[in-house]
Amino acid sequence: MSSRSDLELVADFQNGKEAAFNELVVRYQEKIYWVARRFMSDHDAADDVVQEVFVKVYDGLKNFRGESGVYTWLYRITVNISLNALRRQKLRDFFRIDEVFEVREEASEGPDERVEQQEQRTLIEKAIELLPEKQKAVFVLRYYEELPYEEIAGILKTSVGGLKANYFHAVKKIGEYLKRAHGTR
Amino acid sequence: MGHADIYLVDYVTGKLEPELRLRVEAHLRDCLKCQQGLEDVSYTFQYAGKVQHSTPASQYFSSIIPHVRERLENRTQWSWTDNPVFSKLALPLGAAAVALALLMNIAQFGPANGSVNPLSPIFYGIEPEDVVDMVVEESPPTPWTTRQTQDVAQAVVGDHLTRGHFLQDALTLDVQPYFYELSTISSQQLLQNFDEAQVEAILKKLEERGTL
Ligand SMILES: [Zn+2]
Repeated sequence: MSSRSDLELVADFQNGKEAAFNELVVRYQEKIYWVARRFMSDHDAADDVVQEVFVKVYDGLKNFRGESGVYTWLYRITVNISLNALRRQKLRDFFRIDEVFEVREEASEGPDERVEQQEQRTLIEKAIELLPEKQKAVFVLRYYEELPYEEIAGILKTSVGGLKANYFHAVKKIGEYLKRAHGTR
Repeated sequence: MGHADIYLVDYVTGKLEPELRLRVEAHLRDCLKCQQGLEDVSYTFQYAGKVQHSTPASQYFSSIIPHVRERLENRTQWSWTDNPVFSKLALPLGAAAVALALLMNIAQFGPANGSVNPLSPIFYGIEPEDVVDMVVEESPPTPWTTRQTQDVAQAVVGDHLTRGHFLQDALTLDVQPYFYELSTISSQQLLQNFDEAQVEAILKKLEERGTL
């Protein structure tokens, strides 16, 4: 492992060193995976997001000028791609486009993955799923990732005050949902 | 201080500095609204801690680079925008997006809820595919023209929304945000998940149905 900074790796990549990209992937893949997993809930969907993120990063690196930190930029791409993936999932679920691809799915899916997909979705995951996108993003970044508000504001390009309000509304809505589901209100 | 709502989550999760913490506590003593907020927030955190996702297999992380490289190589062979199929599919998919909006909308007023929408009885029990057909039939037979900056799917959604034949009555405040969300999804976003073989399969299905 080299101890080159993120920006040095970006510069290396821009100067034609492909290996610098791999090093950035290794450096951030776990963080990105877990953010994606919080959004997507299941492993396969999260894996898909991770790959899409790094493809986008690969393209973006050529023009990366460092207006924000590499880390902020990566998180922003991850949030955007996760939210897009959730929208597509919603549409697909509705139209069951997958029906067309039944054969293909069976072929590519191992037994382990199938078990994972059947994992019981918890109430709280369903509650999070129902949140508006921005609240969902703030909840993932603040509660699970424990990022400071200032960093989240940079990632989501929004104000700290607005974020705090979003976070409160997100958590409150989840609480209300859980209470209703548990029949305590 | 005004209401303490924006501090409540950090208060419950122990992330407030002591001075602010005391001010929040003082406010909470007298404010019913914030007390209620605190109760909901606390309720969430009784459960939020319990969400544990299984950790991926140890070899998973070493598979990411090869998979990403594979994607980078494959995609150069296949691009939506270069493909003539794109313009053929855009209309049915745009129509599908409208149909989705319609159905989501109708569902809100389904007979189960005590029907107020005069369209509900007409749409009740209709499958998404039927609505897609209907919308395609309703669409102009001439090539679909869009303003240059406009995505085709968005244009279809937008056009139907602005003409608003059937949506006006049912378009309530609850449903509106959903439409705005829909209108932000581009055809390409809808399509970028599919590879060439999958597109062939969709096309075939659409052709069989006479949609194309
Ligand atoms: Zn108050």
